[in-house]
Amino acid sequence: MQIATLLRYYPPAWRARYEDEVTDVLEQHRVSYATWFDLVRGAFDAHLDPRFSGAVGAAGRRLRRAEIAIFCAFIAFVVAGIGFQKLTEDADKAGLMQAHAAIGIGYYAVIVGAVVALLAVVAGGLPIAAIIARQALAASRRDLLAMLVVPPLLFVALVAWGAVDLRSSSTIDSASIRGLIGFFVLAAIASAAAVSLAVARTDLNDVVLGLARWASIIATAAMGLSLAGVVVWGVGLHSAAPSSFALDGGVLTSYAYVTFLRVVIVMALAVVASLVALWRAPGRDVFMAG
Amino acid sequence: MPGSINDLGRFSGPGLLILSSLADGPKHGYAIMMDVQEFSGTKMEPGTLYGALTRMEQRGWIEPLPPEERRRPYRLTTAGEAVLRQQLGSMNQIVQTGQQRLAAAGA
Repeated sequence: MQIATLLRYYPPAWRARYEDEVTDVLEQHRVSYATWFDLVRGAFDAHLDPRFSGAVGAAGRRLRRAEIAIFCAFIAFVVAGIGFQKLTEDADKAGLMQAHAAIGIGYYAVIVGAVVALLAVVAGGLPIAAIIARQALAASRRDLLAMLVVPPLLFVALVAWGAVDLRSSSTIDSASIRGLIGFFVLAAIASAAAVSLAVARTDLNDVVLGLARWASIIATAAMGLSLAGVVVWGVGLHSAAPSSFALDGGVLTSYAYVTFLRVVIVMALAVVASLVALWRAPGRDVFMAG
Repeated sequence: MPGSINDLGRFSGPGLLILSSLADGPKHGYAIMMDVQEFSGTKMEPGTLYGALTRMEQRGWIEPLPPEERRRPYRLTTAGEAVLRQQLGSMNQIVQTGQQRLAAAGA
């Protein structure tokens, strides 16, 4: 591999302006490992620089809106997933999972889907977060910085709340649990809103949007797998032990079938919202040209 | 205000060397690298060179001249000269202070 081929990984706007010059320099330069490393680091720098890669067109902005919608759907999906976790935590259901293949397969499909969706969101979201942080620091954008600190701050507050409740009493009463769950849901909504606003107010380039598009497709497919797993798990459990759904094993000691239906409805809405967002988002060729 | 060389972040050091190189006339990329190595002993790599050039061009400290085949020379602008003078002045102050204190300590 010739070192000049690394220049292909620079943004198109940078290449149009500097590629010939740098190619000329490289032809005269004594290339070492440091040169390779330096050019790779330069490519990252150029991609993070909105002057070379921030000029996305209307199609890029549509894609960004779609990705924000899918991120919010993922957060709703995570909240519903915690309800599912509550349904599965008692020992009886763990035993049924071993005895009945459908329940086990459904459960593991949920886990695999959740892990893949999380990894996809992290893979697509980290480069965007890096660009937001960089632009916020470079331009002293306090609004962006404030939005970025909302999720970790709320997470710390949530952990502190739980820790204080546990310290004051070995068991947490139902009022505290209601408060904690309410705070968790509000924190999830506030975090999703803050991150979405930060993304909407940042100049993103077509490379990270393209990466996030693939991540969104994978995350949507994985959420669909988890939803299917929840349904299979529920149908299997209903067949094997119908009485389980009549017990108060749901969130806040509600009937299990109530929690199960809520989980399925929220997860299904999240998957449908993601599919609609993907359907309405421009294709790669369109947004790269737009 | 032309700004400060520190505005370039991790490219501050290379930026100062490039401005110093261009102080005696326009040069293209490879000539800058050779000149910097000659007067400072610093081996600058192309990724760093062009990372600094793009940032200084954006700030108006240097400007590109018409290309000569694939090579494009750059020259120092008035703003770039002011930044270089300011930075060299403060470095000179540091050098003088350090030398005076070393001399005083040795006496």
